[in-house]
Amino acid sequence: MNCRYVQSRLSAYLDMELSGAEQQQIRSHLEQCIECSWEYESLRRTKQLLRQMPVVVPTSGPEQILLRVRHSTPAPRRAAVFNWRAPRWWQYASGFALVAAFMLWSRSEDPTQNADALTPTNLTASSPIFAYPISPDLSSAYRPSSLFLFRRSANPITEPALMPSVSYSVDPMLGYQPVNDWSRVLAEPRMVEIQR
Amino acid sequence: MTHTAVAYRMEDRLQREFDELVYRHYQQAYNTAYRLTGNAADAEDLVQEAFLRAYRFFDRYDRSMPFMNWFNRILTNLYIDEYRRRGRLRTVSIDETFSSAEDSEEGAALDLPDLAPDPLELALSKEYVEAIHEGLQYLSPEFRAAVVLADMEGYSYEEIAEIMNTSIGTVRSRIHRGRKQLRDQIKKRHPNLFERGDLK
Repeated sequence: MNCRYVQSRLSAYLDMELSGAEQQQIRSHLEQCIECSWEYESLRRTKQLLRQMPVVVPTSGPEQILLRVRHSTPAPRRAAVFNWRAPRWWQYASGFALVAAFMLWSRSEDPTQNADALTPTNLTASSPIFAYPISPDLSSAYRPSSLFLFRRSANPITEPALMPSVSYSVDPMLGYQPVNDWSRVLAEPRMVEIQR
Repeated sequence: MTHTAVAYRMEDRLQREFDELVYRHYQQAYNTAYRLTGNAADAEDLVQEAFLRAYRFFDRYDRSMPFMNWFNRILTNLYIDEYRRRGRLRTVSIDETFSSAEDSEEGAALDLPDLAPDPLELALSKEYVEAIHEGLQYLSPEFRAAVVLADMEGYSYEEIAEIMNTSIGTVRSRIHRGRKQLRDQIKKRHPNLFERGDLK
């Protein structure tokens, strides 16, 4: 047992916080080692000085505290379930309005709704001005519905996706983009498996 | 409504229990806070804040544990957090230290049955009290809290570990290092207290 070890445990020895055997070992070391004895003595005196410090008395009583306690929120009880208050009708209404707004918005984005009006045949047949084949703006036709919009942004495309072979450019961030070159767009998209 | 009536009665009972605890322990709590913060104004704030927090979480207080152990946990944590937040607490005013300490000098606890009679056992003189008080302010909040809880409040290492939410090993090292730092601080001003001459 060296002095370094003993000195690191002197406070615990002083407080009788060591095991019986360790307490005994340190005691026998202190009997032989004057340096450690001095270290011990100085710590003992420090502890004793602290113990003799006078008790400080507050100038005021606890009334201020009790007053503040009265005005603070009451102690929360374990049975907090009893405090549950039914929401008012307008609190339901705001929730309902939110759901309704979301539903309307998602339906307006549904491509099947206005697909008829946007087919090229309809447009070319309607008037002589449109006798030549034009490229109608179909950019919205292949826009995914809003639900897909959310799903795709959450997990881009994880399974070997079945995609049209035509080049509807799918940007993982922006979604489907307007088609620039319609000559490359097939009338009937084939489904192919994309290798990843 | 029945629920409300029951709730009121419960609240009333808790309130009365809490009031009694505040009356019984206010002085001791203030003393601890004073030794931690080093001045009366901060001690008052700390005690108030700690009692308010204790009241707010009073339903979590486990009655099998002494109230002061639980309360000191709140107080110590508040103190350490506050100290960290502010960086460094205000400096100590010596006059303030003394005006309040003086009145209670005769009430100082001198119960040291396990130690041999010693010249140090006489009531501490002003200068010594001052030196110790200021020496404590040099310690880091963790060391100071550990030393105050052990040597002024008389808690065991296990209790301090619970109060400070740490291991007994950490408590042991904090107390040891805290005492050594404090000793060196006191020694600077009063080397006579640590003279080697009178060791047998």
